Amino acid sequence: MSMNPRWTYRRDGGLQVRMYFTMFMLAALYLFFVTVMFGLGMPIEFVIIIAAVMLGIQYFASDKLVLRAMNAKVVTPEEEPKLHAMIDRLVERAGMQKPKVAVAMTNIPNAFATGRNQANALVCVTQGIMQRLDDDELEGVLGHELMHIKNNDVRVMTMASFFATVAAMLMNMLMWMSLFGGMGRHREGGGNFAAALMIAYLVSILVYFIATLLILALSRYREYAADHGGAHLTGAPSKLASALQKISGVISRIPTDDLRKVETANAFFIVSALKGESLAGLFASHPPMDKRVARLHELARELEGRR
Amino acid sequence: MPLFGGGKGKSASGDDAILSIAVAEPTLTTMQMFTTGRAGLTYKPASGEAFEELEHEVRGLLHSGQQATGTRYTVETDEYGYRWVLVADDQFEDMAMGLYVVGQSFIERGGKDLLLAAVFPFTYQGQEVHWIFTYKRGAFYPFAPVPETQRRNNELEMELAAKVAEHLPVEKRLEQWYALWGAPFDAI
Repeated sequence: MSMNPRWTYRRDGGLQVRMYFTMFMLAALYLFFVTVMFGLGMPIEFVIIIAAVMLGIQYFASDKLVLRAMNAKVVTPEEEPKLHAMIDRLVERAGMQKPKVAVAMTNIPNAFATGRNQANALVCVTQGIMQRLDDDELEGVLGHELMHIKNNDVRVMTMASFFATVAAMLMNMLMWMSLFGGMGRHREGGGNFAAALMIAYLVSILVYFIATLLILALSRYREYAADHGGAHLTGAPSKLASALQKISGVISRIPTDDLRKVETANAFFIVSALKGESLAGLFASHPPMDKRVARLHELARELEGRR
Repeated sequence: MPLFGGGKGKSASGDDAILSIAVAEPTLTTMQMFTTGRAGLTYKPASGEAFEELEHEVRGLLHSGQQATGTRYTVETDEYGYRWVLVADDQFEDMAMGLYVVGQSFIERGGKDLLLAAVFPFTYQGQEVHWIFTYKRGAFYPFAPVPETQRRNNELEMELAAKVAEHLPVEKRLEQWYALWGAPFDAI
């Protein structure tokens, strides 16, 4: 759906899992709703209008939904002067409007951009990323995120998701037509009715799932594009490369939490050892980090040559 | 005293790991890692008579250490409510031994779970590097806070951990390298 923020790093832990989980659950709920409406014999026009309204709400409220889901909050220049100053410099150079700036309260190093257009855009970084990267590297990451905004990636991905949703709806309708078309909407078999409802629902989910895989592939291309654009914006692709390595590599396993805090927390939570990391592999779409880094270094050499 | 068979010498092998830093210190010096002449041990205070006795014994030990080797000491409580035994001595070995003895008192009186960590601050090329020993895991790891920030120099930590691995039992699970911000070394 339209809640696709543009993450810089695909292979990370809890945040992304939560993100996909939220997206998936929203879609499932939505499809379930549509299926039930069909099942109850609502006119198709009415269902489409409802669907459009629901998509519209997501489209226009996506930034707020994402902030809520990520436990992030918008920060003022007074609260985060350095972060704002960095973004000010970059947007001026890129000739774009300044997005809202938010910080997510998590140790997992990551960053994302969202918003349906430049006027409503938002860039969010996690506390973890600010703690781990030096200024140049953070600038590289911000350049990448701003490029997502400039490339209208959120809109592109929302469109892609919209078609996926429409595809799922079409499948849903076809299911219903084939099952009940010949019967002229007689509802004598209550058991058949429930079974058909279930099948239609499962098919919708399947379609949506496949569409999501396709969307992920599309998203990987947009990542490369943002790497490229961001590199030209900051003029230092190697800084983004080192940021990526720092965050995706072995070093990201070193915690930033305080030992005393962890000990105190462990005393209260039995499942302290169970962190989101184990789930990450399930959803890792892993656009090869090595490839991204290699391309950035190539870009760095290119830029050097041009000077 | 020991709950699980064996003599004191044998069962304490994991707890003795802390002493390996005293053995390694001359090597660390050749690697340009220099002691700051201070060290600390932190534990979670408990309540009750037994614990009060334990703390009393610890102070006694620290006091006689000061008499014998000139190892200065002080006790502080930090903002997390953890207690710190801080020691200062030009002789690194005396400092390490002092903290070892304090740790042993806890272990012998059944207070091992209260022990959190021992910290040995060093400098390396102008940067602060703390070697943190956790009693639970019986191993050391580096902690290099960047001054006046809540950031740590992970690259340097990785580099130094690799360097000393032959001489010091280094915590292999990087997920366990928790920070210890603002240890109250200024108090001594």
